[in-house]
Amino acid sequence: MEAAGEMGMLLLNLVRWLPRRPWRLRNLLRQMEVVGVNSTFVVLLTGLFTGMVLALQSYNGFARFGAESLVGTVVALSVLRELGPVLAGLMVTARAGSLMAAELGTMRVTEQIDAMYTMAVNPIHYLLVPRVVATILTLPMLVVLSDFIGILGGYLVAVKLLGINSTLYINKTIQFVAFSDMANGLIKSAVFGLVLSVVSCSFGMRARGGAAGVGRATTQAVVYSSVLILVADYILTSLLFGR
Amino acid sequence: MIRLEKISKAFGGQVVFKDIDLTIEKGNTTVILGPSGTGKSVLLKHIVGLLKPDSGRVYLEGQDITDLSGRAREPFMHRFGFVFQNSALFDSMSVYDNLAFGLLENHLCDKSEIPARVARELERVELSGIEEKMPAELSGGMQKRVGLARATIMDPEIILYDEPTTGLDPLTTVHINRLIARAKEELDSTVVIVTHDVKSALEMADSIAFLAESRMVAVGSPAEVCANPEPLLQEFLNARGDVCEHRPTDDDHAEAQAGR
Repeated sequence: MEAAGEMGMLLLNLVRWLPRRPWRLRNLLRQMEVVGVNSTFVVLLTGLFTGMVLALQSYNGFARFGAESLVGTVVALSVLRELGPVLAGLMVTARAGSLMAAELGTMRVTEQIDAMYTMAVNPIHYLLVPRVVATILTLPMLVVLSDFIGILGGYLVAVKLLGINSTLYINKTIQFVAFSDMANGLIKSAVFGLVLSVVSCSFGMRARGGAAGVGRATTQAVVYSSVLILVADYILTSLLFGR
Repeated sequence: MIRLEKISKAFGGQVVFKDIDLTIEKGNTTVILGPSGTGKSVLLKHIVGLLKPDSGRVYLEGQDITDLSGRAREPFMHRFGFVFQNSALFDSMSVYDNLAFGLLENHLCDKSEIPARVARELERVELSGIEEKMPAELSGGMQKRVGLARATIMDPEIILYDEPTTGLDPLTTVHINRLIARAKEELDSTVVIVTHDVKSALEMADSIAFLAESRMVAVGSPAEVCANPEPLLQEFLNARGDVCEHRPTDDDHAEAQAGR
């Protein structure tokens, strides 16, 4: 409850500090590199294998009633609407969220954050705003890449390995997949970016008690971010995609 | 002048101190002395606003700064310099960036002036030429000195030191004390030092505040504190022999001040 209250307060403070100058573009770009560029490989790898596995699994299921041509549709819809944003969110949580919590937690327990405050620099403005904004901006970009590579992976398995007709596969995919499927997935990913960055920063900022405290904060950040991403996913899915 | 009025603080039901009154005179060196774990550092953090009291008020030049936060507090923060117990240098930044940070972020001077100001502060703490080093490459004593340089680079009116000599060897302790005195003299600042080092306290203080058992046991000049019969205080002062016997007298202190 205490952590939830602190997270709420942190979110309010972030909103309060977000529009204030200076905007520190260099800090923002640095964080976009940490969250986005440095997570690209692991997100792409996850997307590729997810698309490939989806193609395999759905082929096995659909082959039982002769609907193999719909494999492309299922892969694309699953990746765009669900698996792309969620898995990218979870991978970025594991990679960048843990880093945020550990980095801020170490700064907290070694009084570096207090030092910043004594130099009349607000730590929320200097440290947290760039991290949260960078995550909200870069997670959708990662998801676009992940979606593309996931669909490509599904195509390669379905067409090259399982022998589904390429034209049929592409036509069925285009026929049943709407732009809103991708757009809603990207909206989801931006919200996941907000969730994971606020939760990770919050646990980092409230770390206490040396190395053990930083370790605990990092673990909590990853666990709570992951769970909240899944909870947010259900809520957003019911709001964006209806029943 | 800084005035703490009836400051009380507890963490999770455990009382750190209760109804603390303390006046820190402008231009003086005030030492907050006391055994470990009595809340000296906690009290220091109340002065600069890192912690808020559960009750009581903090005044700076008669203005109540207890509840100020965010932008309203910034003008007051520029007047403080804080030297942390473990230096608290930004470990991802070089020494130069650590020192330049406050100046840059607060736009306190033109960018072109910063290298010269960094060099000046490093010279003040006798560490010229280490701008490009990272904090991890420095010894504990050097980190303390860089922390001191970082605190003084914004020319603060009030410098707060949290256990500046804890964990240092006697020679480095003397060196740090000398640098603290030099910074005070050159910046004409008010100094507050938290320590449990009785010898350093008696040498450096214009005023000593002895904090123990959650209360302010005694406040006064070194001579007054030495003459105070309070058992808790005397036990602490004389735990390693009679340091008061060899302390500088108030006359010595006045002469030293006049000679500056």
